[in-house]
Amino acid sequence: MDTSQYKTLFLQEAEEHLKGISEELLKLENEPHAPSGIDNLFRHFHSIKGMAASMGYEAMAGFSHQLEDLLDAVRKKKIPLSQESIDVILSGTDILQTFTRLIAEDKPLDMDTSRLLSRIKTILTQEEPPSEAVDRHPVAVSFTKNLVGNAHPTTDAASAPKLGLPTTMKVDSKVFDNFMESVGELFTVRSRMKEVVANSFPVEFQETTHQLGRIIEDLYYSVITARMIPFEDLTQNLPRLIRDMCKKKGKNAELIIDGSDVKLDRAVLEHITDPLVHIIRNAVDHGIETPEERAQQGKPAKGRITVAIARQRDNIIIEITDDGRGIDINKVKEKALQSGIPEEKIKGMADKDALLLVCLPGLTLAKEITETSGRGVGMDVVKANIEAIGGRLEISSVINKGTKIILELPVTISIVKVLLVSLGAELFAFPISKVLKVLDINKSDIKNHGNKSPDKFIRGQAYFVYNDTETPVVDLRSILSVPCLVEKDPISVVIIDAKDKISGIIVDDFEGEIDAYIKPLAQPMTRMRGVIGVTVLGDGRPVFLLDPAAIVI
Amino acid sequence: MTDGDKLLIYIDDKIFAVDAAAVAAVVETERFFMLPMLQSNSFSSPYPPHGGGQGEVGFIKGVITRRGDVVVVVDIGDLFGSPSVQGEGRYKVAVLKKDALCLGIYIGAKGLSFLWEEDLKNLEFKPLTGNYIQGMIDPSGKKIRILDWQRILEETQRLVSGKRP
Repeated sequence: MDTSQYKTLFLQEAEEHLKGISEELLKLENEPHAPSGIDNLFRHFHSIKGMAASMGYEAMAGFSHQLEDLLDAVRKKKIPLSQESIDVILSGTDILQTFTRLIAEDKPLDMDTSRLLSRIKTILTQEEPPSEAVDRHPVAVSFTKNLVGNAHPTTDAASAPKLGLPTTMKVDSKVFDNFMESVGELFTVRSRMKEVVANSFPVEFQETTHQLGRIIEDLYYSVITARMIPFEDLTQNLPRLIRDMCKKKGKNAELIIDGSDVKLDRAVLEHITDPLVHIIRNAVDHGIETPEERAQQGKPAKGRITVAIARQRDNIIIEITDDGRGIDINKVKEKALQSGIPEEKIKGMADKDALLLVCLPGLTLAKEITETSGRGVGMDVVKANIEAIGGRLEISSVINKGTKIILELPVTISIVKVLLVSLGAELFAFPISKVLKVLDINKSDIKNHGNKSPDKFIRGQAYFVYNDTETPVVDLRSILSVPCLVEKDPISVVIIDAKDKISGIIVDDFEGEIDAYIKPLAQPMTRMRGVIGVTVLGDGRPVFLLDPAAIVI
Repeated sequence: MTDGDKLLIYIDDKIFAVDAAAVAAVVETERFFMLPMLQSNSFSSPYPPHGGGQGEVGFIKGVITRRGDVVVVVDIGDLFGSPSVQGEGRYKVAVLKKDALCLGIYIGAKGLSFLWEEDLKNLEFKPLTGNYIQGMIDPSGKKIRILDWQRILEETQRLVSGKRP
């Protein structure tokens, strides 16, 4: 396992534990009889040992183990907390400090710690102390001397304690959110500035604007890199979740995670936490069969749930697959019919569209309501969460073979390249990732199926021929209840690819592309249908980022 | 409920009041931007469409921006059956804020008026339930309705999410 990516985190944590050791020693000076001091010291050394071992720093782990043994003996009153013990703890702390420095500098951990180890061994082989015989006070005084640098204890540490600052810092994620917001706004202003100066300013000013833009871009990539965290941070609790659920349900399943080192914007991970847990719970609850059922199906007793994540250009694809009983598509259709979806609509659906009916609010296939699922509350929220950040959800399933749920997500949701379109004096935006083309077409090229109302574009019936294919087209004005522009000809159409369907959206005009900082919608707009977020231009105009999939559906 | 100063809002012949402490700012604007509420076959607003500006739905006038934030502006006249008439010029909007909650209340072109806490001390507060009103005070025969703006915000949220009240 490549642990190098965790080195920074390790050093940061080790630094904190070493700092904790110093603090505990200071506390012991004031309260020499406080038992918690030794316990806390023990825990710090124990943590360092565990962390070093998991990182493969065997020398450091082994050395910490010896110090831990010494503290354990003091803790269990097998040996006294003597001046000699304290000296050894302090010297040991210095050595650990040196280990971390060597790790930070990528140098080998070949330190000679034999003298100190031999002193630990000597202390540990001492006879048990007579009860209450330890005078701790003089010992405590020497802590201070050592900590302030007037060290007198004999030490074989590679270096005496030095004042120094950690090379890594732990920063509240909100700080990065604020950074992101400021950089995002800079980005939006830059886009507008570029547009303005291109038309009316001298070349020198244009060059300066270009240079400023590059600096803003560098700043953005620095901030976004700092906000990127590996998918693993999200999935580390999943094995436990599955184990606990399986235990409750009398099932047996293993989890395989592929691509856990792929990094995503923290804001994206926040949006997918609940959906991922819900999908996994559904997989265990409804997908994976009991070992007996699986045996009847000729399947291995242990079910398998796979979570695979991969990056595809600016998107992240997460596939959650189980080898369980699958989803009965006929049952889904039946339930959808009962919930009021017109029969002809259901009949005309492709299987992948019909499977998405499980995302209808309140629709459940579960025979019984369980603690974890079956109330029909969940997949609608999963879909809404994914679509709220401009993502897409797809389901495929084969009876008795299993189910695959695919989540397509943007790597980051902060800065989005958007196409600005106008509707009268209003500006709206579409994610460029969904835009195939923009074009002007003659009004007469748009027809309605059945030749109804040739002067109006009827939703669900209007189409035009694009790439030799009848392509449905909708008028954004009618979608937003704005009176249509009867006189406009030719018509501006944005060709979009949403939900694997090519469609056209009629707008008044195209207003160019910008990199926009998209903020999530605040209350009371949080549940607006078809709106991903909003950006505010440098001149104060709000521009809502529309979800093309919700418009053409 | 009569604690603290109140900002008075005059709509037609009615007077409403909101806690001045909740007013983050009173901003002037020349226009309201459209709140894009997608119409679909399955959704129709439970409120009649507003006869005013483009894109107005129900009692929502639209949005404004303030310090980079987007604020939804509502016309309480519409909510209480006294639609305000919007002419041309600049209009005032009281931006109400509490934690993450934010709502703009359309005031119109009228000047601002306040009722101070010391004037309110001796007034009887009659609690009222429903209709987004917390209660009423009656100084010198003027009935002043104290708005429950957070309920108006909830109703706004229901409207923009396409849910029926």
